[in-house]
Amino acid sequence: MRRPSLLRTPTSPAAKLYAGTPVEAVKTPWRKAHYCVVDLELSGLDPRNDEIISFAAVPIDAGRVLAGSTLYGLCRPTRPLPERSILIHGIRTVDLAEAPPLDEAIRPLITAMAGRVLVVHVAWVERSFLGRAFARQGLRLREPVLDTCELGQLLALTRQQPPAPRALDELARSLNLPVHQQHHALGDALTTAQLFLALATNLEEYIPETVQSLARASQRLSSYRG
Amino acid sequence: MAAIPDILEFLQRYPPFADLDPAALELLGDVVDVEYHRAGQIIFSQGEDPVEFLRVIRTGSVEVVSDGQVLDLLEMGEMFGHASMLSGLPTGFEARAAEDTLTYRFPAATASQILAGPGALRYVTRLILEDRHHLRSGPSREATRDYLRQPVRDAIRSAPTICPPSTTIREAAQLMTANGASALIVDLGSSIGIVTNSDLRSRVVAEGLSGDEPVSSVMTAPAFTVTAERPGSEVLLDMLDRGVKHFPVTSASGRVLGIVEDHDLIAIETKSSFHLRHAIGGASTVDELVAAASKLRPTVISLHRGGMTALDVMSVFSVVADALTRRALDLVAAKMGDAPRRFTWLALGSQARREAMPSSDLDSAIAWFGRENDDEPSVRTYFDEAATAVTHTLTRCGFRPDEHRVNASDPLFVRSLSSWTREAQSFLEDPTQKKALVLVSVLVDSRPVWGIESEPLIAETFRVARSYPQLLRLLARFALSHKPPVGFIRGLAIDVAGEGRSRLDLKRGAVVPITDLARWAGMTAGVTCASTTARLQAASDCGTLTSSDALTLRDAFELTSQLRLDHQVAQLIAGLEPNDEIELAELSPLQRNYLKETFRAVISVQRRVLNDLSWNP
Repeated sequence: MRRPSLLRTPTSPAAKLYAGTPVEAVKTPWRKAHYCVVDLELSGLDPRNDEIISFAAVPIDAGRVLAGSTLYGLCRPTRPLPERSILIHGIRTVDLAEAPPLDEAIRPLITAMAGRVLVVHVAWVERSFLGRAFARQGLRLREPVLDTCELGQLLALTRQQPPAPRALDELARSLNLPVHQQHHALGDALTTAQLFLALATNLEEYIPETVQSLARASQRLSSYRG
Repeated sequence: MAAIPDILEFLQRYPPFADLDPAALELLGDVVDVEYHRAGQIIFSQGEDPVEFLRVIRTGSVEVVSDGQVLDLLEMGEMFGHASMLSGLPTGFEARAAEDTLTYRFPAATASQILAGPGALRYVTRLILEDRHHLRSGPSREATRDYLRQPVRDAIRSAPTICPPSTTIREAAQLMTANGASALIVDLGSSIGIVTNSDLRSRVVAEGLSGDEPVSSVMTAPAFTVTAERPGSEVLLDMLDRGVKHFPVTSASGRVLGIVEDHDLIAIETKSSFHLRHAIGGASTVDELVAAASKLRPTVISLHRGGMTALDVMSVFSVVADALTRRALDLVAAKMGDAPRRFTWLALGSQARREAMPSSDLDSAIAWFGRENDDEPSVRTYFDEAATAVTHTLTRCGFRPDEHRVNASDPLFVRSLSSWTREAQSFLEDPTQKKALVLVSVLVDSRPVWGIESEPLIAETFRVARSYPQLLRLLARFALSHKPPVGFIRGLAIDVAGEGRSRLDLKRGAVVPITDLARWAGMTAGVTCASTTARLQAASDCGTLTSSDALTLRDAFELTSQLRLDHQVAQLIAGLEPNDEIELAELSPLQRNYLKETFRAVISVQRRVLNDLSWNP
């Protein structure tokens, strides 16, 4: 397989749309910004060897989750799925036989993310997997990327509470939020989207939050801790 | 784009979503937004423009606040905002997150389409209150029910068959057969006559008339006609009231468009009310009358089952109660001999307003025509005895004797007309007299059902009530003294004093506050005896009530009437004596929710009226 060049220019209409649509200025008050919450299911956690097998995107506008406008898709992996990943998400190699390959399957997701601030739970996973997939389309993942796991820690610290759970389901439950179907991209993305609303709304009780201030959650955490 | 299965599954656990078919649910899933409200955040304010969203609580809870007081706490699965959304009226309360709360939000356009179709709150409410609506669907009943709501024009099935008066009976019968018509219009130039199949049977065959006689010898002329725009339910009641089954329908200019028959408007089962009325008219002894009256309760059950609205059932019930009263008087008069004075029997209360129900007492009074202070012992004795006999007969017919003895068998309610009107006049002038407000309320709701009906009526004395502001002010305060429960908490209805009860008296708690307010409001508009809805309309037309308040009260009246009827029909089916006491546990959460919203709406109208009174003393 030819190694994709990071300098490749976007060619597909989806990629061009993503590259050509600016996202919110970082100073935008958080409620005014447009977000896309993304969750991926993977064959494993090693970005060099493992693959994206399903994804979901849930938009947030005006501080509301648009739960009727979600996106869900499957990707056909290039290798059989390891058994341990099947045990987690329940998706088998055979279930993906009809699915398009990643480069094709990911285009609707790229379209859905165009012009929106990315929100994920535990950012390094999506950063690395999406980063690679985007690079193959000649795209660079736009910054900022907001991380609900970090925002959860920040809220707990701001409230002078013990550290918040890091796992998505436990963090959601700790805030009395519903936990949707776990290890299913759509269920986890909805849980994450609701978590984001709750965290941002509660953080705003202390200071007016903007896209930038939420994006800087980890810096704020270190300054608190320091 | 995809709806999220988890959200649909959640909704499906709660009414009214539980009854939606998967396609309708999917439509809701396509438009749902998820919102997060911090504890204390106001989701919408009281008196705001109609809300454009229906909301359902996913996690957390929402306080319902009216004028700064928390009336209720809504929890997971409960919806709010629907009353304002569906009625298009301003919000009756403030919705405030009691804790951090996640809600699902649906735009009004989709939600009302799915929950109600194009109709208003009343329609949804009825469907949900009925709880059995899925048993009632079925094309024929739906169609029948629609005719009751639509202009009678829509129930006309074919062009009328019209003939000149010189047509022979034989030719007329042939015309009717050829056209498949059960009635014929006779063109009399400036007016019309009508000949029905049953006229041919009863008048021609029974009387042995020749087929060569002109049709004019057996027609009914002038025929009573209805205009095309009147609603089917009204026309049906007119038919029932007049004991006829055919009405020519005319355009505004008087042209005959067709004929409607009773069965064009109602289902077969509903016709029992006509048979009933016929049996009452034909009863020649008290026993026969009691036997005929025993059909009244089954009739109510079948009308209810046939999908007739509570207000229409109440009208039918009142018409039949009138017929029973008249026949009871006929039989008593026949037995006792002629009365020493001409007199009028007055129906009072709900019967007078044509809002009687199976649980209603038939309140009544007698007014005889005579000189001032015409109170000879023999006269009084006759009427006291007659009233007692009639009351006794009606009790045997299944009507409860009045608990409060507002009844013609009570000497207080048997008087000469001049004594009644003198007293009514004195109430106008000095409403602070003992019992004045109670008696004014009783006398305004009075309607002659037997005897001389064209004489001046007692209720008419109060047509000039507008010129007596002190009376109106006191009546308003009197009406406002009846307060609905302020809310429900954990299965208890909470009254103004904060007392909780597991039973709710629908009549005292919900109906009386509305009918009392409507009576007063009607009087400010110069209306005397009339239905609650007519009074509210008049009060809205003259500006005593805002049109939205009048509408709120009317909807509340319809809703509580429906709930009362549902409850009483269930009791009748179970063989119980009907009453107005409802166990809150009998109601579904949604019924409770609707009832709560209704109470809140009535309380806020009461509050506004009270406010107006304080500003315009």
